[in-house]
Amino acid sequence: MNRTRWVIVVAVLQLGVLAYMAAEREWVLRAGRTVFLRTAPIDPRDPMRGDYVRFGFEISEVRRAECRGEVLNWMKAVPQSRRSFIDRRVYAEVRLDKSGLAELVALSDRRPESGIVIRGRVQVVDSEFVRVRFGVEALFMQQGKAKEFENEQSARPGLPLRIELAVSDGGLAVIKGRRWEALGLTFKRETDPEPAASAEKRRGREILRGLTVELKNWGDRPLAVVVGAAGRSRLRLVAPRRGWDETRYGWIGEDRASVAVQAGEIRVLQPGETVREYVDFDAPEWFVVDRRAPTSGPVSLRNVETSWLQSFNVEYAPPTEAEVAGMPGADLLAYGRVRSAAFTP
Amino acid sequence: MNKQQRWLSIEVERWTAAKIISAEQATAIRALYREPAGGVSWGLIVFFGIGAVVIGLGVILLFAYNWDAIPKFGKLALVFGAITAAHVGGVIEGRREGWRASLGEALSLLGTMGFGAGIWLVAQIYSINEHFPTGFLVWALGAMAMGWALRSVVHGMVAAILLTIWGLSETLSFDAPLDLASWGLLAGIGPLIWSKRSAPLLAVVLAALYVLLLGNAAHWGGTGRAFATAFAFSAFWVAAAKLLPTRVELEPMRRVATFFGITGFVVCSYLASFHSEARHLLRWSAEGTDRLAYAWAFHWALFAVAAVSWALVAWRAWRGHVERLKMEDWLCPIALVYSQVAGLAGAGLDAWFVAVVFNLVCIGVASAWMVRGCRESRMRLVVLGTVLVSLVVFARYSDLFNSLAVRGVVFVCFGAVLFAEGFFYRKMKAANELRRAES
Repeated sequence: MNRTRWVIVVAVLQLGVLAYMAAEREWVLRAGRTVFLRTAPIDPRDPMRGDYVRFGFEISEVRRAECRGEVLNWMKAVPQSRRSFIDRRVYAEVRLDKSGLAELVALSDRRPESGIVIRGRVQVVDSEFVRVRFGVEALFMQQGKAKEFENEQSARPGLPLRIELAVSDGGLAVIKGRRWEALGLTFKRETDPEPAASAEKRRGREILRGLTVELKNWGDRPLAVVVGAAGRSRLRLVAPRRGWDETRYGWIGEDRASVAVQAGEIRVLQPGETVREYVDFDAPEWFVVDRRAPTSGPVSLRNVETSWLQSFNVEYAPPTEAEVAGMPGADLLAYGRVRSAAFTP
Repeated sequence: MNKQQRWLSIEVERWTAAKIISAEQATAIRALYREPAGGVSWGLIVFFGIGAVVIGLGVILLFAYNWDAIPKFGKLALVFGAITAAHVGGVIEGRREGWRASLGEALSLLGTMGFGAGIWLVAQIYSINEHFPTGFLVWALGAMAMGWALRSVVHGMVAAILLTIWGLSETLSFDAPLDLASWGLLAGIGPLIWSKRSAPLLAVVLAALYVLLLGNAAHWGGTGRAFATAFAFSAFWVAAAKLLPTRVELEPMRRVATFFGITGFVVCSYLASFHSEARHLLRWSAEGTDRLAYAWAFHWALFAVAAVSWALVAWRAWRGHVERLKMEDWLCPIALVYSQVAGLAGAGLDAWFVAVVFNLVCIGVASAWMVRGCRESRMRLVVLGTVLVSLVVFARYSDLFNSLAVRGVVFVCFGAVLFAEGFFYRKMKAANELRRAES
C-alpha cells in the first residue's frame, strides 16, 4: 500500500473514532432507559470545552452497607494501596420510584444480571465510603449560560434539580436533559440570645433553638405534602459527611421507622403556596447523640460543640404510595425526598 | 539557500571579480554545491507546522464557546467536514513537489488537530465527563498513526507532546504514574526518529522522556528517586551519543543526545553539590516504600542500562573505536556509580560527604571545558566552563563560607583564575592562528 492510501486509512480511522463516540451516545439517547438523578449544581469552566455546570449526585457517595463484591475488599485495604483502586470500573444498581428518580440499591465491581445499572468509575475509596464518578457530572453550555443557570437556581431557593439520563443495558449513561423539581425546601433559623454565663466562651454567636421549615410548590400544578403534628413529622435531620471525616453528632431518629400517615395530614399546595413546620430542637424527638461518647445520652443541638465539620440538613421524606393508598390527595403527593441546604448548630 | 551556500555564492562572485577564478570555474563551483532539487526550507516547514497547531487550538477554543444556535448535528457536521477537508487537502497537496508537499503535511496536521478538537467537541455535545487523559491518549495515537503514514516529523512532535500530557495527567490528576507513556514514546516515535534521522524530533522526545520519567519517579519515589533516575538517564544518553556510528547524517542526532545527557548530568551534579539536595540522594533506597519492588526494579534497570552503555564505551575506547571521548566524560559514569553507592550507604554517610564530591565533579567538568575551550579556541566552551564554576562559587558563597576573610580569599583566587584563563585563551588563540597560517 502506498503512502497516500495509508494517509487515507488513518484519516478515516480518526473520523471513525469520533463517529463511534457520537453514535454510541446517540444510540443510548434514543434506545436507553430514562432515569432521573438528583443533584446540586455548581458552575466551573473547562479550558477545552468551555462553561459547564457540574453536578454532585446523591448516589455518587456510597456507604459501606451499600457496597458489594470486591468493592468491600478495596475499602478494607491499607490507605496507601487504596489509591490503586481509583478509576476501577463499578456498577451502581438502582431502583426507580414512581417519578423515575433513581435510588441506589448496591454498588459492585460486577454488573448485576438484571435490573437498572449505571456504569461508573471509582473516584475515592475510604474505609467507610466510596465516591463514584458516572461520567455525566458535567453539562456543557454556551459561554455565559452557566452563570444564567446559577441565577436561575438562586431564584428558586431550596429547589432540587433533576438530571434526566438515558441509560443503556450496559450501564452507559448520557445526559438527556434537566428539570427543576416542583417541591422546594428552605428554612429560617430561630435563635436565642447568648446566655451571659457562657458569653465569654461563645462570644458573638447566637444559640440555635429551632428551624422554621418551609415547603413550597414551585410547579404550575397542585401537589400534596404530608405535614404531621409534633412527634409525627415527616422531616428528618441528616448529618452529611464532610470529606473523609465522619460527623461527630447524629440524629437519634436516623434509624427510626416513620409513623403511619393519617388522612388529615396530607396537605394540598396550590402553585406558589407554602406550608411551614417548626422544628423545635428542645423537643426530645430532635435530640442528637455524640458518636464519640454514645453512653452520654441524647442532647439538644443547643448543647453540642460547634465545628465547621459538623453540619446538618433537614430532609422531607414523603411516605410511599402504599402507605397513603386511598387517602384523599394521595394522587397529588410529591414523591421523592427533598433536602435543604446545610446548617451548623 | 542555506547560510554556507549564501556565503559561497557571495565569495565566488568576489573571486570572479578579482580574477582569482574564471567564470567557468565559478559555475563549476556553484554546480558542485547546488541546493538539492525539491528541497524545502526548514523555515517553511516550521511556519506551516506552527500555523496548523495554532489554527487547531483556535478551533478548539471556538467550539468551546458552544453556540446554542448551532444544533448538535450541525456542530458534528462542522467538525467532521473540517477534518475531512483538511485531510483531503493534505492528500492532494502532499502528492505534489516542493513546498506544496510541505503544505500538504501542514494540512494533514491541521486535520489531526481537528481530530483532537473533535474529541472534545463530541464530549461537549454529549456532556461526557469521563476520564479526561484518555482523550489525550486517543488524540496522540491519531497523531502518531498519521506521523507514520506520512513519515512526518511534526506529527511525531505533536504525538510526543500529547503522550506527555497524557502521562502527566494520569500522574498528577489521578495518582496513576504510567510507564506506558514513556514506552509509547520509545516504541511509537523512536523508530520514526531513526528512519527520518531527525534531530529535532529526537530533541522533543528526549525532553518528553525527561518530563515523564522524572515526574513519575518524583511522584512515587520522592526527590531521591527522581535524582537517581535523572543521573542514570543522563549518563545513558551521554554514552549513547558516543556509541552512535560516526556518520555525517547522524551528527545532529549525536549532538542532541550529548546536549540532553550532559545538561542532565551537569544540572544533577550541581544540585547534588548543595547539602540540602545531597540528603535526598542518600535517601533514595528508602523512598517509595508503597511500591518497593517496582521502585527497585525501575531503579536498577535504568542504572544497569546506563552502566552497560558506559562499559561498552570503555571497551570500544580501549580498542580505539570511540572518537571524541574527552577526559571529563568519564566523570559521568563515575558520578553515576558514586550516587548509586551513596544511596545504598544511606544514613551511614554525611550529606556533606556527597555534596563535596559533586562540588569537585562540577569544578572538574568546568575546568576541563575551560582548558579545552582555550586550547581549541572555542569561546562557547570557555564561557560554559566559566559560568559553571561561577555558579559553584556563588552557591558556596551563600552556604559554606561564613567567614568574610574566607569569602575574600575565594573571590581573589577565582578572579585570578579568570585572569589566567583570559591570558591562556589569548595565547592559545595566537598559537592556533600561527599554526593555521604555517600549514
